[in-house]
Amino acid sequence: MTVEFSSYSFPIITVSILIPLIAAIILAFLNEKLAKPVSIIASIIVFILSSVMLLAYDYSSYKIQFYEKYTWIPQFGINYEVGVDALGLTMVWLTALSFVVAFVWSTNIKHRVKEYFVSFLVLEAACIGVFVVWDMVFFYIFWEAMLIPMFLIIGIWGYAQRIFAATKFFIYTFFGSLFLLIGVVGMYVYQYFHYGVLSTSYFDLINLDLPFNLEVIFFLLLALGFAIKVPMWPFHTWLPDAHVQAPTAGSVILAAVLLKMGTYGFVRFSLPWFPNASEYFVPVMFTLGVIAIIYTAMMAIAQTHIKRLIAYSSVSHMGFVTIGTFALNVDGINGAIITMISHGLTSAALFLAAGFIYERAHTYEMKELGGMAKFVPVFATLFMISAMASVGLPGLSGFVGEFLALLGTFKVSIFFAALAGLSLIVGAGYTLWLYKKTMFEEELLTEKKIHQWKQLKDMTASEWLSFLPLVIFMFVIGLYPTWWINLIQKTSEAILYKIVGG
Amino acid sequence: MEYLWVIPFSPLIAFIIIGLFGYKLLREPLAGIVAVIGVGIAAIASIIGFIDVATTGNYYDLKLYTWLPLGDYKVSVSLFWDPLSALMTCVVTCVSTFIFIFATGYMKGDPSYPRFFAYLSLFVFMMLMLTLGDNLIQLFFGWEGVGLASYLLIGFWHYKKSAADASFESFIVNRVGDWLFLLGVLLAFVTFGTLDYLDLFNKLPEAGYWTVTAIALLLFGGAVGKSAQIPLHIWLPNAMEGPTPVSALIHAATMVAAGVYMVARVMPVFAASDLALDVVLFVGTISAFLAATMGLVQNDIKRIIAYSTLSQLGYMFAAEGLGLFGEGMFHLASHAVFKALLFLCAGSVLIALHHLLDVQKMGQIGKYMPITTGAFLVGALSLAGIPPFSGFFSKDPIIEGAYEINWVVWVFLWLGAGLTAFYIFRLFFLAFFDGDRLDPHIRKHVHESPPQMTIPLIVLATGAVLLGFFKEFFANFLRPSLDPMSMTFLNEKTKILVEEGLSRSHHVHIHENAWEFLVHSLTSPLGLLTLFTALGGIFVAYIMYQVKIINPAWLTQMFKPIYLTLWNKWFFDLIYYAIFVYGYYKVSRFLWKAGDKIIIDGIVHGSGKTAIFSGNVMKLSQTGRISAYVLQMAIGMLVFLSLFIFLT
Repeated sequence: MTVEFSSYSFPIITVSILIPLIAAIILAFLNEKLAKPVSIIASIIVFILSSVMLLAYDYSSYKIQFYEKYTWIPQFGINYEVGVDALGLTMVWLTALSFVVAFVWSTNIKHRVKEYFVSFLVLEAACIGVFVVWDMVFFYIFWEAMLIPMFLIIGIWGYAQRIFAATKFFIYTFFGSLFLLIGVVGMYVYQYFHYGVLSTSYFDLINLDLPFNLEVIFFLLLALGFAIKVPMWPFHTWLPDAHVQAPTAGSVILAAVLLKMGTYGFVRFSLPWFPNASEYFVPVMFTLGVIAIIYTAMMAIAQTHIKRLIAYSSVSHMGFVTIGTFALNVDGINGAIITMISHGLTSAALFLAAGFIYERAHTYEMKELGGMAKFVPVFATLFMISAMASVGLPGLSGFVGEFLALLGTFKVSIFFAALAGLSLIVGAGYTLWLYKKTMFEEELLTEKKIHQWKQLKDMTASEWLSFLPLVIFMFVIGLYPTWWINLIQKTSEAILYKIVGG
Repeated sequence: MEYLWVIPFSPLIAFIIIGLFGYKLLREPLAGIVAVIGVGIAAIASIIGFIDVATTGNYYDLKLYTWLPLGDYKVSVSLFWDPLSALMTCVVTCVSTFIFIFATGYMKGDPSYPRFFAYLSLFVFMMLMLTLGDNLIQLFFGWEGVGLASYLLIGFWHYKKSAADASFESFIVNRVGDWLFLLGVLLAFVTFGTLDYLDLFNKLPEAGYWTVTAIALLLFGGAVGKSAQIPLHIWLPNAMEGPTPVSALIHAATMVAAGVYMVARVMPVFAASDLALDVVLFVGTISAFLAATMGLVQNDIKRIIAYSTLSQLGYMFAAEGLGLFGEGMFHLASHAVFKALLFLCAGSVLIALHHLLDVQKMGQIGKYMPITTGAFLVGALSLAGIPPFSGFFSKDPIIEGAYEINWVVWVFLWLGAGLTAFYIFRLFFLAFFDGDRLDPHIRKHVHESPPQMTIPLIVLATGAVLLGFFKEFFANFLRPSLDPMSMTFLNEKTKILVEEGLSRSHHVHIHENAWEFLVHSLTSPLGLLTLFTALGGIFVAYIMYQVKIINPAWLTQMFKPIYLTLWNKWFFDLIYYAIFVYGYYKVSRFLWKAGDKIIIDGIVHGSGKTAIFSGNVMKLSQTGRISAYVLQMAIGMLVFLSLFIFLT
């Protein structure tokens, strides 16, 4: 496979990675009060840059665009090599958007404010890095670098059991990454012995002609790393713990960005690198995907802690990405990518909603909540829209991805599509249950609660500003998905190049 | 015909205006007026469009924009205007207009007045997207959208637990149907490569019988959910938690009829498969009969009418299953008018009685509310199928047709007609006449409703009287959409296929002219039997609840098992609750504790603990004394040397 590259007059990607890093360094020397504005400005600049890329991206053919390459260690074939195709680009854009939302939201941090924003800025740089690099050493560096700020965010600004959750998160995902590293190193070594080439570039590793059994081994090594990150059932238990303990903005980033890295990994690496193994493992991945969809939907409805419920719902949605990816056809991949974007928006919005509720009620427990809709009507509306986008109501973003993923799956296996489609029912079950238990049923409240609710303030300005873009884009994607499909179409075809042929 | 886009979008614009400015600027009653204007414009535009197709017999397919490209096929947002969609659109917009006007009176003083009209407008928009789409995806968009509006409106008074529960239930049960529907859409797309109705119909002969059957049955699964047919009917009676205009509009006249409309819309698909038609017939007949039996013993005024809705929808499906699509759609239109009328009368009663729902506690309100009582009587006679009211002209043809096609179906439909007449007049006598059971405190305040509520009642009652006489007009009007030989958009092969599928009803002759049908009914034994059954039902209700020759309590005692079965709605609700609510929740809790907490986290945490434990054990070897290390080294060397010796 030969890939075309096109570069841009301006090193836009490198700048996007550097801006948050530079902002973080500057912040270290600034007053605490400036932490928030500086972070917001930095993240907005990055968002504008990513939007520029989104609009300037030429989707008429498959090219790696905004491409930059600088030599780093030529002896080992390691280069700094960045660029995006539509998959990477949409993920970068989603990352940039999520960080704007997270920064705007984070007004109520009182404790170690500066360190908080520095952690997030470093995290942003690492997250963007993951989605744009094509050199495996840099990929691995960004992939791991992201763990450290996230570990700190959960561990310092989290709730009561934060240390436990942060440790579990770190060790679990780190454990997975090691297999990823072994897999990549294995391929690097194989490449050296069979082709005499030393290169860590994606575009060289993709041309390896691996024997089937090696393909299977490498597939499994990488898949373990990605599966933990997604997370796929049964590697998902770190996620609810991490979400429950993480501060709101941390949960937003965790759900909207970090989970995408796992599925990004599958789409970006597993499919093009190991086409035969991917086909071989379709039944396994379908099974795991469907279990994720249904089993974790059942987990979700069993919860009384609203953040834990939303966390499980994330796992359930990621099941759609898994089955869409492994349907190995264009509809499936399109569905997977759109679901990734859409889930980024909806889960971020739902975690913001949980944060909104916590800031007012000081609890995440369902039995102490309820009946708020009347007192915070604006919030109730936005929360409802987000919930509906999450359950895949046509006209909002969730449906587009789920429909395409289901269509892709249906073409391969009616059985799995029918099972995955059950999420229409069970997904609506837990989401509306969440909504009902927090917003409705005022008559079950005690007098004291009602009195307390009457004092509630509806959305503050910063809450408005962080919610609004998410809701707007839910509509944008839901009402005019054509634009997004056009954007990613060629990329999806390129990803499947080795499987279905040119 | 470009002006047709006004039809769905004027309610949408009303929704947006009310949604954004409802509380701050419009409030009561401006929000209601905006909504009425929005839907009124839609109604006028749709009547103009209706006249156009009635005179020309054309059809129009306007594509607004491409929503989603799927390979070569493009899903578009579109307006498809042919007699069938024109009829449905007119029913929706006209009935909505009167219900909106009624609602401005009904919702008076409600703190959430603007929200109510925002939701109602949203509902009308979604419903019109459903009826006007030219492809199954847009239908599904509207389908889910009306589900959302229904959810929001059932739960309108969400402070009540019962309302929150009912809305939750309705959404979930509908989603069961939607799941099947979506699979049907996917199967259709994978089979035909298109989802536009017209292309789909013309490609029908290419597909195998079983594929078409599967598509039809899966789509029908959606209709069963949306139109609340057995076994997915349980949500509709509970949906009566919503405000009464909602029950009239969504849960009687329009949304629940969407399933009937959908089956008629994709009629060629159903006609291409006997089995699919038989299933539609079977489900419709069973629902028509069972729902009528459930309605016999209820005491909640709105639930009685709700069960009659279930039952009447069953008649419509039965008509479609019999191949009498035109009759089914005509019954849909006539039912929309008289059922909306019945619900609005119930709403008028509820306002007068301060939301007292139990008919056993009513009585004698007829003399305080003459207009409501008169209107209700018209609606009830229409529902019971007494000439010359519209229900007679729309329901009796179905029963007579059934006699000539399948006598088992006929028996159930005929018995159902008798039960229908009985339960609606039971309600009528208990609520409006009969003894002195009304609480004196309430009685003091009973009064006729204001004009914005009674005028819609009068208009709808007039409709219920007159509509039946237009039977012939509607039959001719619908012919280009439902009679295969007149459907200009079908190719020859499909025409033959559809014609064959509908052959079951070819020998049925129903007089299209209303007068001829009336004369025929009053002279043929079959017509007289049906008529006297309905009259008999009314008579039994009269002697039981008005003159009280038979004591209902005594009957209840006599037939206790039957009574209990009916009272518990054939135990559907209990069984579903046990399995799908309690059972599902308990299994989920169990799986969470056993699966996630014990097994998966057991392994995850266990490996962590093992590492710590083994570290603690190994730590013991690190004593810090040189002598101990020397000993360890010596043992190590010994082991390796001995290995070396043994292995070589």
